[in-house]
Amino acid sequence: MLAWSARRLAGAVVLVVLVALGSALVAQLVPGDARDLLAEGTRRGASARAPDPAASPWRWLAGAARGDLGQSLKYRQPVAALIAERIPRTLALTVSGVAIQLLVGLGAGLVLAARRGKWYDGPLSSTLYVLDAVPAFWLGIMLILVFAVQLGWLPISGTTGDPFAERTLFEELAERARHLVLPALTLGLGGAAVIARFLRNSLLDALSSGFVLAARAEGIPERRVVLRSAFRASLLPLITIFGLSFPGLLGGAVIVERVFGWPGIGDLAADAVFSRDVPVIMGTNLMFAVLVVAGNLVADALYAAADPRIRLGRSER
Amino acid sequence: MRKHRRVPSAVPLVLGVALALSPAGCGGGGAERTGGSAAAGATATGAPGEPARGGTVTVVVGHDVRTFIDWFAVSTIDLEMTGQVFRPLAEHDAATDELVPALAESWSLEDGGRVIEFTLRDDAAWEDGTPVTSRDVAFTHRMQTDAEVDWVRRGDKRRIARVETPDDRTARFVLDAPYVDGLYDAALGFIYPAHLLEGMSPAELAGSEFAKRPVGCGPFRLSQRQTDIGLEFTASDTYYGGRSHLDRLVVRVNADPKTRAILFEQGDVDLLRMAGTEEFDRMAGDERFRGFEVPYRTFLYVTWNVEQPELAEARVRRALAMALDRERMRGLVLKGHGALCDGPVAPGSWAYVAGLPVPAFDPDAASALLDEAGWKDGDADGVREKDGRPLSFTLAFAGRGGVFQDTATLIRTQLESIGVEVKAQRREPAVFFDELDEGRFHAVLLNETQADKVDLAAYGHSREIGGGTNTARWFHPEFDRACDEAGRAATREQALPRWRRAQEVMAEGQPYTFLYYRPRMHLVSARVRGVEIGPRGLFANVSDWWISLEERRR
Amino acid sequence: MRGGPRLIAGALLVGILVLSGAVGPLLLAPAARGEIGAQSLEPPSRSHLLGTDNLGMDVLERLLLGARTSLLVACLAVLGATLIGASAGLGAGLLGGLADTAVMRTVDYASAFPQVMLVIFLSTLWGEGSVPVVVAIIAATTWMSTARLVRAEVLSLRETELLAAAVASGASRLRAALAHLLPNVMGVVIVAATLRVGNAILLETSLGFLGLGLPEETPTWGRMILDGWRQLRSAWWIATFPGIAITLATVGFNLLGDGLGDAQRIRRRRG
Repeated sequence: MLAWSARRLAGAVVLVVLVALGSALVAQLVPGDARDLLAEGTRRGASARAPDPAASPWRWLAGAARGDLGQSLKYRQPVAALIAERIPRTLALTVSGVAIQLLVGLGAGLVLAARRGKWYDGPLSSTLYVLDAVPAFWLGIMLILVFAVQLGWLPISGTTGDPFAERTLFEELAERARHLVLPALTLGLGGAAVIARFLRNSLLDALSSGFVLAARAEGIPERRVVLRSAFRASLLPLITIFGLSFPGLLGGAVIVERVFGWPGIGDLAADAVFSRDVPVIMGTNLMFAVLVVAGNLVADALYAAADPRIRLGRSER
Repeated sequence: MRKHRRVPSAVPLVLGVALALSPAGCGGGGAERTGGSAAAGATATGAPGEPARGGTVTVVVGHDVRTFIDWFAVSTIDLEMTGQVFRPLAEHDAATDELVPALAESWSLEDGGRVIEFTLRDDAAWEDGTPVTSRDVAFTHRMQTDAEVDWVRRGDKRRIARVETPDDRTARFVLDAPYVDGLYDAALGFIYPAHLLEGMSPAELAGSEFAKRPVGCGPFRLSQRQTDIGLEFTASDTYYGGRSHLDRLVVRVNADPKTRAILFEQGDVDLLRMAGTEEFDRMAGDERFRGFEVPYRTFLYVTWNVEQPELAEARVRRALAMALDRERMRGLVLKGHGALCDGPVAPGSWAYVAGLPVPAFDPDAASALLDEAGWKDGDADGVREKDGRPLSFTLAFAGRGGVFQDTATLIRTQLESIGVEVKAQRREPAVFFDELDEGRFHAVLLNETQADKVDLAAYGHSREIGGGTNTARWFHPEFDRACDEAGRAATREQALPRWRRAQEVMAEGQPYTFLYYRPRMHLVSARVRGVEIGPRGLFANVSDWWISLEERRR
Repeated sequence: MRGGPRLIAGALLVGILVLSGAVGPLLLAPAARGEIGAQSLEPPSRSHLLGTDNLGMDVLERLLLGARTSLLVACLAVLGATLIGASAGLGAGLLGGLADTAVMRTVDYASAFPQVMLVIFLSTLWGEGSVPVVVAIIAATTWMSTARLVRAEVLSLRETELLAAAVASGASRLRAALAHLLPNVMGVVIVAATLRVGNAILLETSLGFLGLGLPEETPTWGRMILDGWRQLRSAWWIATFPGIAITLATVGFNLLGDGLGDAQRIRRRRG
């Protein structure tokens, strides 16, 4: 087990380093620099001067290992500080999104598998199918249209209303929660459909397997059969799917953050690309790589912990 | 829930009003303070009642304030917010084109205008209690002219030889030679506290905590901020101009313009900066809101590269200008807002000259002029040629707004109708500016925000060709001469005839075709009284804004 | 829905979309494009079934024109991604060893980026996009899953008797490989490709929504949603209908792909 994890860890580090180098190299190709965009439409002579972007990728990498990701050309602040400020906001969003994804996905999947043939089986299936196909940014806009603009129940954008109003802890939490609802739904619903469908199929397969039939024969109540035996069988592939969807989740955060004016990492990264803020581009790419690789590692570790066969031997996934 | 402040007794209020109204003593070129007063504000809105103390005004802006040190600032938002907390020696009033006392209560000119002596107020103090002295002025000047700091407006200070500080309240600016804009240049820029910032390197200053959480001497102080979410300013009790009526100014950040408009319309925020034409037209008539349109700041113009053979002749450029119905374009693109622009000197400026020989809209005359210049459509393909070369070129622009695209399209169609083929194309800023600097373009559409000074020379002087601001690469000896003489003049009376001549020459030569001014349109909730937004800026009289007790929220 | 009906439904939906995109705009009554400002922002009505946008253009017309662009870009991108991915997968599976490791590491590497970020990043490198550029960018970010799929298929088929028999009968290894592997792999690849079109449409429209990708004048669904978002309060129809179109297109291709997949599984089981 130890050897296996060491190998995986080493591989992960190498991957992250490669990604960092790669993005650094590509970032050098980005035409123009931040000062041009600060000038936008106006006469060049009066535009601001920005410091030169980072020199060599190696030096940057060495700095990154120390925690120094350089200075943002646009904000004139350390990139690491900018990222650190925004991570919590994106985390709040992604965690909520994942929570919805799991809740809705697992819930729907279970219902579909356990209650086949009921009247809602068909419509629920179809709804999930369509939900999977809906583009996330449009879903967000539609949710805003219905719940914020037309009905006025929820806020249109941002993480909070008046950021400095005096509120009790409860009021503050409520305010934050109100602002989280629509973005989290947008982020989570699409993935929920995938999980639901997958779970339903895998549960159905498991439910008709020999050992489940035996359990039933022994008189164990249906619900326990479903939840314990069949569910456990689906766990492994579920984890895999989850790990694989991690990059997608981060990418989704980029779009959702833009639609909802959520000042998180995705927004920073997209904005940096638009403004040619090279140090920030490199920093956020590195961040994404780390998150994705970490996500995969965790998924792999969980998988390995559950399945002994993995720990021994096989070098290919 | 925030408790309502009780309306204070009349005495401090009257004192405050008196302070605000008191004309600052002045010599030489100073002028009376003309800022709006509380009393005037109350009646201006027709609302009954006196200004009440307290309340919060919320503004929404497009991005967070990146720095409170104006030597490093690049955006208007940075500067507007810095202005809540810091003050300059004197402020420029674009309406009267005069300077208005701020930290300096008066100034006088000596030695024919070569020395400008500012006398500072004795009641201006930083938040930590330290008085504002000439040491701060000298320090600020050093930083403003520092090569490593590299302030965008550093060039404006180049004709100031040194700053002397004979005593705490006196700052003497010694110029190389007297010139018209000497006073303006000397007073330019916010003053910063030497005792807090001296000794730091420019790099340290740029990244300092001070730049994010400043200690100032203005009407407000920054009390809280959350990066990319918002800032909270609270009224300063020690402001020399008197405590503002409002308790708090909250700034919220939201990157999307439409969301900002929605937040405003729903009443979540009280001030919408730079509203779009559609929102403005829709909401300005609503009794819940007040609309302010500030003309004459930013204008749109075409730059013709006179080094290109097709555009080398002045009469060709004039012909192209004659084909454009600018009034109609303004109607379509700006929906009737803004105003026509004939040159880079705005109607409010002292050097403004009306009736410049700008080509009037006359497509027939334009055609005739092109014929005369030898550009004829021999092969009847709709495009004129001369010596085998067609009159065809690209009109490039980098701006992302619809105004650029729509204007370019209209130019294209109008020039097409007189036989000139134009391709309107948006370019990436990086590519665009490279081509502009190196003269690898025919025509570009640009946006420029008016400077407070007359910067005519920048547009057409020969020394600015090639990487400088004379993007049209135009040379006219009479223009150069007129600009040089105006630059050396010591008074406006001496300079004016030169500037007039320079503007006339430029209008005849048409290296640029100026189109129209893009207005800045702001919307304010009617519950905020006393707001006067004009050429002096969005927050010029923010200390005088107030909200009546009934209309307060928190 | 299972099997047959899915295939038919999918094919029908896709067919309608393609047809309307190709022919639709021609059939519409020439909606006066008009000057800037004429008849703008009108809600759905008899004359303009889906309303008009801020330039006065008929939303339905713009939608159909957008269908053309978006579907074209998506299909071409998937084609490109499939070609790249299939070649990579074939190479990795057949050659094995170092080539295999190299390809798979590249796949892992490329998959470490969130697709959306990569697409945004690449499109700003090229500035003003055009159809070939956008197609290339989307292909460059989506070929990885095809590569994995093809490699897996090749690996599983490599050991079967098919290949051994072909080699034994004298054909060169490579020809044998291509001649016998390809048809089997093809099926899986086609199904996967069909299912990928939805993702490609999503990427292309995301680009358009962010203001990247194709230039402003080219009608695309993503750009329409962006414009509609700006007018959300006053003109909800501009943002709503393109989204429905995207969803329908994706559902159509997914149904088609699933249906093909089902058919293929049945065929395989029959041997």
